Amino acid sequence: MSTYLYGIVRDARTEPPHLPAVGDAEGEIRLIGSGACVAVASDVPGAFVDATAADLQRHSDILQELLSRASALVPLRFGTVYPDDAAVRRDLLEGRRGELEALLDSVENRVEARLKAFYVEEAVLAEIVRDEPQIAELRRRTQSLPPDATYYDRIRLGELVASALAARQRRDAGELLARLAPIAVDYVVEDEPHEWSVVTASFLLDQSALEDFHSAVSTIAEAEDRRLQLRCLAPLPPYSFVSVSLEPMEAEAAWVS
Amino acid sequence: MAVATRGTSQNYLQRAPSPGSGLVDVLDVILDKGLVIDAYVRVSLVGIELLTIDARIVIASVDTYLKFAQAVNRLDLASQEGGLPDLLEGGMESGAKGKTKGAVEGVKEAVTGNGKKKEGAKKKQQDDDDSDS
Repeated sequence: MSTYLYGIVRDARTEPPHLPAVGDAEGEIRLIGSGACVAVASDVPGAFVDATAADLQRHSDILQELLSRASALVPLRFGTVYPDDAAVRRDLLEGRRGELEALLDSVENRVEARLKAFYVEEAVLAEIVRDEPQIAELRRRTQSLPPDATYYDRIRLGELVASALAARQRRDAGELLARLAPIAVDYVVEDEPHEWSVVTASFLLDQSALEDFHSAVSTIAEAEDRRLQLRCLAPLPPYSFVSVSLEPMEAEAAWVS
Repeated sequence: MAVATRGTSQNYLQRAPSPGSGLVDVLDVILDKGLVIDAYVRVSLVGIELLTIDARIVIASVDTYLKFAQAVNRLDLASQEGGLPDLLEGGMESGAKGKTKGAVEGVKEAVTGNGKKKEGAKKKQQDDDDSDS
């Protein structure tokens, strides 16, 4: 048996969620430690966990429930397994106490909101055709001639559209962020390889600002209804704002194999 | 914690992840973010890393340009005043193409096949190698 970890909280009196545990649906979710940092854990058989849909869902569900029970929550990435509780206390809660406390401070009474904005494909393409005479002209030409005759024109057309789309995306992403960033404590923008994506971003919000954030996103969504689709997932545990990688310490060397 | 769907716009969806479902919404976050303690990451499926790396690649190619040209040529400009279809689901699916497709399919295999750990990862790596040529 090993010790699987979900996250770190401050308060040893936090009520652990009664939800199915990773690797063992009947497993008990419990707290380790009683000092300034407390780990939320459960037992798993063996030393590894499989990334099954069920276990990933449980990890997320437990952290989501903890978010409403703890004023500060540092969520761990899926898959952290310690040999036993003693190692958790020694190497994590005591060994990294300073780092953990700093992380907990940074997310005290804060939550994450994750925003994905996409273009309504036809609306933005129509804008581009209306605004770019070169594109409108190539469109006319490639529509009126047989495909064989327009191969290079179509490539040129597509290239111009791709470029216009990228310019629009930069502008629209900038405007969205300019509207929403002031409401947040911090934010990170991610690369989104989807061609109709406007922006994918995570915002760190004070709990008290969550309503304002939702209102702002809602207002933008209604105003931009024809051309943008917004999806906002909130509140989330602040995964994107604790994404630190803690290098192995000497004491952990024996476990690293 | 209840966060109801708000706003009347059909283009806007706002909610907290639902317990027991909604994994697709949080999958990238719980696999790619959160605190990492290097020495103790013990996920047996190696292939997960490939998703987070490959998904960052955007391919601009002749195929992409021809696809844009086709989309523009199919546009019915006159219809742009009326209601618009909800393209979100379809749009997201079509985004996983080319080099990313193998990785996304591989993770779907990996996370839904409860017993298929390393076999799944090996197969997906092979798919990625094949599509590299």
